Amino acid sequence: MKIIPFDPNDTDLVESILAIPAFRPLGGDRLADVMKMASIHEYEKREEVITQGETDQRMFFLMSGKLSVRVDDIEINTLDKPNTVFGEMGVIDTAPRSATIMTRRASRCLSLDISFMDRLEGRAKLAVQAFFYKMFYEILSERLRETNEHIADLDMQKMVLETMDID
Amino acid sequence: MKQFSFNPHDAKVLARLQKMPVFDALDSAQLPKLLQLAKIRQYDDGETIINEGDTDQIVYFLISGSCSVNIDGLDVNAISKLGDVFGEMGMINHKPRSATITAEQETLCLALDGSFLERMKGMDKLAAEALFYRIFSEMLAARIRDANRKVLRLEDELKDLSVQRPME
Repeated sequence: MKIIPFDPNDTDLVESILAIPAFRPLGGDRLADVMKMASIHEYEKREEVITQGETDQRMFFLMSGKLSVRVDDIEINTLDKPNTVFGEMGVIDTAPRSATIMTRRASRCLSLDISFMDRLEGRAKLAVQAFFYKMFYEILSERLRETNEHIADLDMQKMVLETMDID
Repeated sequence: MKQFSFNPHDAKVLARLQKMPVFDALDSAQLPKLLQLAKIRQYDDGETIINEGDTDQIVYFLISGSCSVNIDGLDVNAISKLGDVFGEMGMINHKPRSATITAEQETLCLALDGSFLERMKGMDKLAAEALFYRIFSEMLAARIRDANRKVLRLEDELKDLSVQRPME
């Protein structure tokens, strides 16, 4: 894995970060502030991005490539949509990672180290916190909505199976 | 509904507020500041707290009692835990209220008019935004954890049901 620090003069990099919807509201100084906790991670095929059982305070945005979500070494999902957010629960939850994320091919991710936020000071700290928690709120709202839809779907399946039992 | 300004000397209410998990994130200087902006509202059994379709920016924190959440006449949820937050969407996206919230017994809430955020500027605004989105994110994270547990339970139940009656 290769870590590339954020360089505000790298216009290609700035453009690809601003292409991530969560970062679109940022410009100029604020982007530079938020990017103090960000780095670009470049992975080869079959490298681990997140390791099940470990604890860390990083969240990721997939920029390119394809990832495998694995629990106990069994693939339960793949991620390949650019700008997909993952690992966000680890940021608020001090619980160990519940899954391993492994690259299926060479991939590039934007990684935010949230523990870095505490090391910032003054205006930069407030600006980063305000941006980050707002973004986080929006990500979690979406996640909750998806999970609730999943629950409604499972409830429906359960109802169908229970009705079959009665027959 | 009866509304009171927050009385910082009301030990009973203050003790309840300090137990609210959502206020864990606040330091000893931030909590009194927030409370200065808030009102305590007391509702009778059956009284409406939020009306579906209304537009306002008030966010509520449950101190005591319980409420039902009703969408288009259907009960979809209950609010009964100390510190449960509701109505926060009105503060964030300014859209009409998507559900009606009704007190199911005598209920006490902390009510905060979120429109104050719009009147703030500079560092104060950043600090207030950081604070609120942090509180709301933590609340959502707790709801997601609950929802994930529910998914696991339902998946287990479904597995058991499928074993009893295999799908063909």
